[in-house]
Amino acid sequence: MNRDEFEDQDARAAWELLGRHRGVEPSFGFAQRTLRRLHEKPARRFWQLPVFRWATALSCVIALAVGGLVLRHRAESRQAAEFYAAAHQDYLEDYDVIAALDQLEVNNQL
Amino acid sequence: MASNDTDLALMTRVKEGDEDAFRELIERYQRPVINMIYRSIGDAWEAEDLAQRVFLQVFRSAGRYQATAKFTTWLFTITHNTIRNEYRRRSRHALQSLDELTETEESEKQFADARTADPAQEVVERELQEKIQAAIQELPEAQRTAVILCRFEGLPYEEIATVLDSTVPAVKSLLHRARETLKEKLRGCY
Repeated sequence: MNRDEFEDQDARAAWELLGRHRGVEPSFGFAQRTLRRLHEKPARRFWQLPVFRWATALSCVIALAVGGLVLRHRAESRQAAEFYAAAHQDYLEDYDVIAALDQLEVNNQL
Repeated sequence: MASNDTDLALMTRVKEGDEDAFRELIERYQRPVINMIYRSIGDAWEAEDLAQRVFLQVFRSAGRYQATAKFTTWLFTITHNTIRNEYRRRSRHALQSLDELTETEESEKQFADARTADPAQEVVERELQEKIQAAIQELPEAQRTAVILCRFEGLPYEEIATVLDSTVPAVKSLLHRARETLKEKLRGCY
């Protein structure tokens, strides 16, 4: 910083005062510790932990099992509905026959 | 310039994975890197931890270093980015404020200079150090880095501009504003 660039004496004095700020000394063995840190394995993220992997696999299995059960339940429900519909259809057809017999009896009375 | 030549030679070896060269680089630049961080965040122990991260980054990025750039400029750029990331991390996680850290860990600093024999004078000196540290820390990020690199590391404007990814006139402007702020903050101390 060139001295002639300072606008006033106060700014220069403050700038000079900054130079009195003490720094810190590196602690003993700083370089050694840095080198040691170089060989450390980076900390695993939570999704890299074995527990998280097992939990994910288990969740997938449970989801597949629940999905299978739901599909099976739906298929059974559909089959039951189809059986009921077919049975009901037979009943209606029988009813038509009976209704026709009633009509026949009425005709006979006439 | 000779120093830069040696740095380049060391970096060439570091690129090849030479840990002895890396250790030499650390020993050569540990003090400026630690002090740049310390003056920015005001915590000596945290400064060492971050300085280690800076050097690890130097080692891991050695392959990307191009000899066209001065080594110290590259090193201070990494240091500046590390400090900036630390400020962001702290503000994101709303950790203990930097001011609190300065106050609580004041007694743990490893000052470079020997303490004075006179206790009264030592108290005065200690207060002065705290005021200067606070004044530096309270500067906006770019001004703070410019002041530290200019006043304490003696970097020319061109290098400071490279570190800050800025221009020389912008750096001059930053330093002018910083001087005005420091003048007000340190009034009565000089």
